[in-house]
Amino acid sequence: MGQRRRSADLIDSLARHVISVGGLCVIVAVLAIIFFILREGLPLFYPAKSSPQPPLPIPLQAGQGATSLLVTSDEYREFVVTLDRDGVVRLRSPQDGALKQELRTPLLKGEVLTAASEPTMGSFIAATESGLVVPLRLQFQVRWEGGRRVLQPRLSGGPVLDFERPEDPIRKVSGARLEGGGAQAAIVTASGELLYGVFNAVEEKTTIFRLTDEVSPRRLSALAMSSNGEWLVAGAEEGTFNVWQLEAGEAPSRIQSSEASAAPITALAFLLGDESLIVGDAAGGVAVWFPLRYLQVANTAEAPVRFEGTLLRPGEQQRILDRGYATEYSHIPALTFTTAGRSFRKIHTFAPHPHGVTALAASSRNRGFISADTAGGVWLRYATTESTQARLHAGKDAIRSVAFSPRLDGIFALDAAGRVHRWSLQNSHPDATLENLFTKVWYEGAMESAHVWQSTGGSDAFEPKYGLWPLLFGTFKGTFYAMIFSVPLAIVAALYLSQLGPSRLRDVCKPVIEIMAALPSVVVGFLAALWFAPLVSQHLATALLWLLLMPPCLGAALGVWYLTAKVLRATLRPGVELVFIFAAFVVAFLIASSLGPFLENAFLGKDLATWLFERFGIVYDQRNNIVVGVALGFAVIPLIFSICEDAMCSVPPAYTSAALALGASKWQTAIYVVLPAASPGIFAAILLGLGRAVGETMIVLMATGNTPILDLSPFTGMRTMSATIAVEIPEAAYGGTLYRVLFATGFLLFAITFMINTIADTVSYRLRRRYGRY
Amino acid sequence: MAGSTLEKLTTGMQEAASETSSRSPQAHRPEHLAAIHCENLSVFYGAQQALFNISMDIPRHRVTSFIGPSGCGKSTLLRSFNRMNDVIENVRLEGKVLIEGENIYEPGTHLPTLRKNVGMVFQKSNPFPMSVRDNILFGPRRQGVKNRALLEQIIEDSLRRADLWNEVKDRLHTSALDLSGGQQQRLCIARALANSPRILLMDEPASALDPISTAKIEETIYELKDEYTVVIVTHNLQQAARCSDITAFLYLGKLIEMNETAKVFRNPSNKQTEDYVSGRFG
Repeated sequence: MGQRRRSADLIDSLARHVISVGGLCVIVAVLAIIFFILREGLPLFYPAKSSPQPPLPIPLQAGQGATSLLVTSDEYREFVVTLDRDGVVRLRSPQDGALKQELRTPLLKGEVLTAASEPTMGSFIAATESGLVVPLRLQFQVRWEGGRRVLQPRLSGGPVLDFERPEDPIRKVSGARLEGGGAQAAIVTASGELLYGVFNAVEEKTTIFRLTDEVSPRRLSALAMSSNGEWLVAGAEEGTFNVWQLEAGEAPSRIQSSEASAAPITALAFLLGDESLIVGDAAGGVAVWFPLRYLQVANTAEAPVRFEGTLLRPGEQQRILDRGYATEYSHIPALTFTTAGRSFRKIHTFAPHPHGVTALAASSRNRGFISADTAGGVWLRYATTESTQARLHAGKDAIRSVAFSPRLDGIFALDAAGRVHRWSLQNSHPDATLENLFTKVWYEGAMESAHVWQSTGGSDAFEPKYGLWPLLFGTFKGTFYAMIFSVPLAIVAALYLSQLGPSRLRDVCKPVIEIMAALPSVVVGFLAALWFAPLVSQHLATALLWLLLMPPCLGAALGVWYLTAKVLRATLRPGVELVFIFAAFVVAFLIASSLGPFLENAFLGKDLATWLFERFGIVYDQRNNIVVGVALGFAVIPLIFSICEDAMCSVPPAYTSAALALGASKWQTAIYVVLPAASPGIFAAILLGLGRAVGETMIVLMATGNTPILDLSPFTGMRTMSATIAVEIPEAAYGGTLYRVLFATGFLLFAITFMINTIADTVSYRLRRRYGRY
Repeated sequence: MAGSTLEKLTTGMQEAASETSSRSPQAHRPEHLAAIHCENLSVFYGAQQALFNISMDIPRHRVTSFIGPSGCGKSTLLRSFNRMNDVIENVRLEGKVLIEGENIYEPGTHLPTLRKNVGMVFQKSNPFPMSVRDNILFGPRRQGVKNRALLEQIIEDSLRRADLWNEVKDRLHTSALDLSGGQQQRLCIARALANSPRILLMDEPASALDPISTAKIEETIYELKDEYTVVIVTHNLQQAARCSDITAFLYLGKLIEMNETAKVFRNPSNKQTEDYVSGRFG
């Protein structure tokens, strides 16, 4: 006896330990997953890190009085590269400033007066005292010698543009290479002339256009040409700037003249992609301007037409931002829209420097740039987020030139005293901040600020857009429609089967519905996308009509059922009502399928989807919310049904007997006694279903169309967080911004489901305490 | 005082109820009919027969008690008077049960009306997990009574009749589950009375209670017979002797003897009855 007791105790304590270890393992595993997700997602929000290194004094060129004009570096930061006044490109060691190599080109004769660096060209453009403008390219060849990397620099140049102004020294220069070996440049001379020259590689001829008269008598103080050669911008001391649209070989057309600032404009530059103009002024102001598309809207009708809140009189015209009005107002034929070109508009304003801006440099990889001022301030900015990421100090002297290293891991600044300042930089994810993941952002090329998710594009210059709202919205939109479809069905089915229907039906239906849960969601998604979606879109009128006819048909069926019971003077056996309900379904379907096409033909003349679009501008996507709602609902119904049914069945029979004995009908008992008593379970079921729908991936991936739009219409698709992660994680570069944003999305998803489940638990616990004490 | 209010109340209730019921008004009910009359009543649970050809008349405004050993069919018989056996699957019934002269097993019988008129109190108290007030009003509300003043009257009257008013009048809004066991059972009686039934069926109402609570319940039962016909199933012979006017002894699903309580206990005409009441078996 004692022996047996001891062994039982042993097994007891063993079991207790095994169970505790198992439970702990689960907790540890969950925590580890959270930790891993956070570890991958959090670096997104680390601030830019920079570490300064002591300045390199670059010695003046003996006898010539020449200093450096601009600074840059190679990809590996092995050299600090300067272009000096004597026309020599000098490569120095970044450690001690020791001169490593000198590169010369025969194209540069005499003193270089001014130069500009063109980051996207990987090179610069120089203007000499003889009036020549020379584009230069510095390339590095990488060789490996005994496991050591050796960079072999090569300087090439041309074609040379001769502005033939030896007597009028060039003060500012900017230029761009053209396809096929051509080049174009613009200069501002000491006498205030603004000239634009194009070198045609086929005819080997430079054509010069004089643009001075278009801005005269203003004094020009800054110049920038986009590297794709499309825009030329000249800033004046009056604080204005002029924009020309360039068409190679033709006379430039000035498209804009704008007041940008009260102070003289001192620096201009284009961001990567040539779609954003950075403007810096003498008062320290820095802003980014976008070229926006405009439309001319005209009222061609006899009567006034309402357009965007204003009344457009007949014949009246308005110039407006092109916000897709042409499609939006396509159903009003009186309004005609013609494109009205593009103009730059100030979109992002940055924290101003305390001193005048002297130099700007755009990043060659993202929308970051550097602005530098007259007192040695070198500030790192990010255009899209309108943020100043770092404020670096480089002594007291004015900065003449700044540059990013090609890999964005360093910043170089050249001051007026000829010193080069260097910082190494760690700034991996400037384009994703906690703020711009969730707020509206005005992206380049957009007509207004918006929530956008568009993580990849066609070219390197494409700016990824990481707005999480469309994904959150899509997730909840899909979930919402799925819940609308599934919750009433599941609860009513559970109530009917557990309380009202014949028990034999319940024995059949419950396992069948639970088998539904075992259907792989990929099969549901497949059916929804390839069978259900086309079916609904082909027979939209029938489907909607059927939906509309269901309530009256069901009502009629129940009426007939009731009357039958009355006439027969007998209580119909439970289960007979199902025959009537089934009949209602069939009748409603027959009516809808014959009436739908008939109505379309007779009244609309075309199918409903086309008519909706033409009449109201409502877009009907094949893979839309109705399809998703049904498919996703199909996936969560078994879960909700099963838990609800269990909860209702476990309502103590004492309650139902008491209610029945008090003269309540079965129906009243179900509503007034069973529902409240089962409410904790029902609530938990709904929230568990919600959690399942939020996290569901395969169905939404296949049936939503994956369009990240913010649109409440049930006829459009959406893109959910889970589907986005599934689709994009294989393409995301490890450690890249997209990769981390997807992990952050995963964390968000986890947090949401965690929250839902916690609420489910808390509320159902409270309800259980209230209703569940038997 | 209570009587006059109740009369008003009962008429009000009947007005409310008459919309839903098709039964003839009280005035036309023949006075000589028994409250419950059953004829050759047999009940089967599947293949097993639980009651055998029971015929009896239960007189109006009396307390009738059913006694007998466990499993003799007392509860089954009681539950066939308000068709609560229907809830159980595979139950089959033969014979007739007439309540106030109407066969309640006729097809088309409106069960809610039947059960409103034939109230029931269960062995184990089963108040709903709601407030005291909502428990009382559950029946009247289901019958469609909406008048607020009337509902308030129903609460007070039924609680007074169940001898609970003084104990819970200040806690009408607290959960019924916070009451003591005896109070819960009296609440169940009050809840049944709130429907103003004509017959009250009680299935061992005091078996799970302490002696003091039992005494209170018995007192309540005794007071109720003035206005209700009470049928009580009990295991407790003393209880049957104390509070019933008529006693029926059932054994193995058969009615052995039914007579005035005093006669059954003192001078039973059947040997089995005598053995049972004198404690020789059961």
